[in-house]
Amino acid sequence: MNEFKGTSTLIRFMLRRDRVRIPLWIAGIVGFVLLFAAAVPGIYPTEADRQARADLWDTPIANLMRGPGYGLDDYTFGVMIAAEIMLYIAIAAALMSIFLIVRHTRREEETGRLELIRSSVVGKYAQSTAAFTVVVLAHLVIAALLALLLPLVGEDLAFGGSLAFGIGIAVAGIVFAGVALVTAQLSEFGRTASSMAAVILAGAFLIRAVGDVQWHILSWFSPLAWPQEMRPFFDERWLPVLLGVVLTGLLVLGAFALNRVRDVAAGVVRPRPGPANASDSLSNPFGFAFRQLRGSLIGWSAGVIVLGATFGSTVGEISDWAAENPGLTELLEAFEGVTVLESFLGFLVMAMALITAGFAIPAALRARSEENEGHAESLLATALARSRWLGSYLLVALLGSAFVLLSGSAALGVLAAIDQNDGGLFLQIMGAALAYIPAIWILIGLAGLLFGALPRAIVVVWIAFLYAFVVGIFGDLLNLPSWMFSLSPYEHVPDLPGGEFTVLSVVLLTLVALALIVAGLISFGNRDLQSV
Amino acid sequence: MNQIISMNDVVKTYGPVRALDFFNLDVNEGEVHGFLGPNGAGKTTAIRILLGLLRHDSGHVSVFDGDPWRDAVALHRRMAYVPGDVSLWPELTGGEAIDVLGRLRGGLDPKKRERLCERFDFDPTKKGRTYSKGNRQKVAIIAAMSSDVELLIMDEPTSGLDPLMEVVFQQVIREEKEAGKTVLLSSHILYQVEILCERVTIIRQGHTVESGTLDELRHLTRTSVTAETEQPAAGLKEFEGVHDFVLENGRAQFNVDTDKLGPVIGEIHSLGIRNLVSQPPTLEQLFMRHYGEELTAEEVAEPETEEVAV
Repeated sequence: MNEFKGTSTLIRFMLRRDRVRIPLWIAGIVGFVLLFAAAVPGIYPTEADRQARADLWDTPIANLMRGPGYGLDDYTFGVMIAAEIMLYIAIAAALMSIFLIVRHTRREEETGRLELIRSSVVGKYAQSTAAFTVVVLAHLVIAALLALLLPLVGEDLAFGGSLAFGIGIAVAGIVFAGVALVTAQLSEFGRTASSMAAVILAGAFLIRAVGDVQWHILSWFSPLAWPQEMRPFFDERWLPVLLGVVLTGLLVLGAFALNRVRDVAAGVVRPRPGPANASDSLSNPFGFAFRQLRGSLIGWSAGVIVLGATFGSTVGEISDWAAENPGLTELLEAFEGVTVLESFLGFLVMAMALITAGFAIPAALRARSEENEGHAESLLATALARSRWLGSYLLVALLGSAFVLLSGSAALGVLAAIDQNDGGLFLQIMGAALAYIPAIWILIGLAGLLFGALPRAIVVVWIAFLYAFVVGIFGDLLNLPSWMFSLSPYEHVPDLPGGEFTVLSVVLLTLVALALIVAGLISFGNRDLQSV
Repeated sequence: MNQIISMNDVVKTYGPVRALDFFNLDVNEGEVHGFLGPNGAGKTTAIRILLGLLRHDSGHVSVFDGDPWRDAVALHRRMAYVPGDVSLWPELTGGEAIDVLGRLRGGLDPKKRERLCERFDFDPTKKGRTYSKGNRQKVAIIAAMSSDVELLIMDEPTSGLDPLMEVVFQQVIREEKEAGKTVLLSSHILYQVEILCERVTIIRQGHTVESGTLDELRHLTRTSVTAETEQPAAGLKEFEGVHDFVLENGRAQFNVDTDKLGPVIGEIHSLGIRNLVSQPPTLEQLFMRHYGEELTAEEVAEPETEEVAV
């Protein structure tokens, strides 16, 4: 057991370090579910309201984006919570696991702090075990809070269903803690370890997306489907818990095995020697920023292309469904004002535009980490103007995000056009993507402004993104007031395809983004560089 | 002589903390200027102001007759900086980092770069993560020295170098000086400053406590003397400027204020010299005099102290 020596001390140490961070994650996840549970009775007061909602969205689109939807025939509040938001709560729990695990394992190694810890009486597996324990504890707290509070806050929510909901979220979260524990062994860099785990998360989303739309058996291969397969508030099943425990156990054992064979601070993959001289493109600030963000750009583009292609391959399913359900289709088209297919494609482009922010925001914020790590000081002590330095990161973010969104949309467009035998569909989808680009740019502009003017408050850009995400994905469901919609840049984009392309709103969004960037560049020129 | 760097009554505060408190620094063209002070005295803050990375609150700062905040880019073409703690990009090799820093400064001499890599025994093909502290510092040193600049600003540049590399560094700095370059060298390694610098400025708690040539400053401190005389030397104790007098087996040991050395040596001569050892004041003693109050009085009085516990 010597290999685990020091684990309990490290657990206390991690809880001390994260005494704000972990409660915030817990409060955010539990708070969102409780708010939702408290809000729906007001929005859908009668059974008829709820049933209308259930009928309206019992489509392949909903299966793709929200999961299988068990118990739609009797759309109680419990069924509603499980069907509408559980998938996204599971994703949030998985992200919490990835960020916390990598933060306490690979990041600690990368910064050299783990070396200090390992030089004292601490076993080889203590750090991983402690980080894993802390994250499992956090998920159990979330599960307990949900099980206890949902019946109190919501209407007609049974304890059994609430418990299944909480445990389901914990299963997804804990499995991804195991995933992150493994990826943290593979790469030398925390950034890469998180990215690898996030790619696996995205893969899990896609596998269950295809499974929930077409071959249901496929969903069982995705841990992200397991929470909903517990069927909370419908007929609770506990098999997914067993699957989660087995898979997590295998992942943890795998992480230990990898940990045993490698050196402290090393990855499983060894670094190779590189060029002795810098290429010309590296020697200007744009080329430099591009080089740093190149891997991320390639990764996100590839991810969005796979996403677009997967979504595109389900287009046939949508048009078949529309043909088979003419009555409902008519109802939907009257409701939305566009055809079912158009509304589906428009939603997918918006979803990809939200996902593209996952490249755009960290790219813009790279300037901040460069400053924090002391790299900016070296470069700004040369004949490099601050505005050019910061501008380079923002420019890579602007152009890169356009590239990511357009490549994903192109994949979607090609497959949709082939499936529907309609070349015009491709152009419509690309037009919709173009219209969303300025909305992403506004987030980049906000990041630039915060970096220049309020670097300590840089997290606000993530809050703004989260806001746009919630409004975009759940806004209609929650029947939010129009002013809440208008606060999100994504809601100022013309509804395409199907709607009218309004040049004015696109131009205005672009101008706002540019104004934010210019303000950021100016304010950065007037503040002290923060030292390490 | 041209003044390259001039800082007059500079104040810089971080909230309630005064990092620089009416600080003064003058560096002349062609000199190697030592910049001494204990940890946290404000050396790095002063240097960051000179680089235009921080803006000072009040006072006057000029570098090459320009304002380092306003004219940062133009001035940076003429100067190079070696930080004390070099942070390298993990994804770039050391060679790439040297090139990027040099080219962004306005170009670097590839031959000189190669020669310096050889002299510092530096492998430029490894990735940033894998370098030790000393090797990371070599990246900044090689990048700075390979550029054709007039002013080198170095913030404890050798704190990670081994003694062999330290010697190489000293040679390189001497060559730069012979080439007419100006160097501001911040350090708390006193012997390095003593070897390389003709003028020093000492900073403490954000304030300049001493500035001048080493000779001028030595004048302010004490010479350590050990003398064996034919006649008893007890009377020396009464001389002005003599401190810590000890007489043992006919051997007198004491420290004497350097400007009072003449009469004391005259008296020793008249007592008949058997053996006389006189050690010039080291910078260490000078340093100790200014920071000594943090140490015990006994330690301050000990002239042989080699390590300065600052």
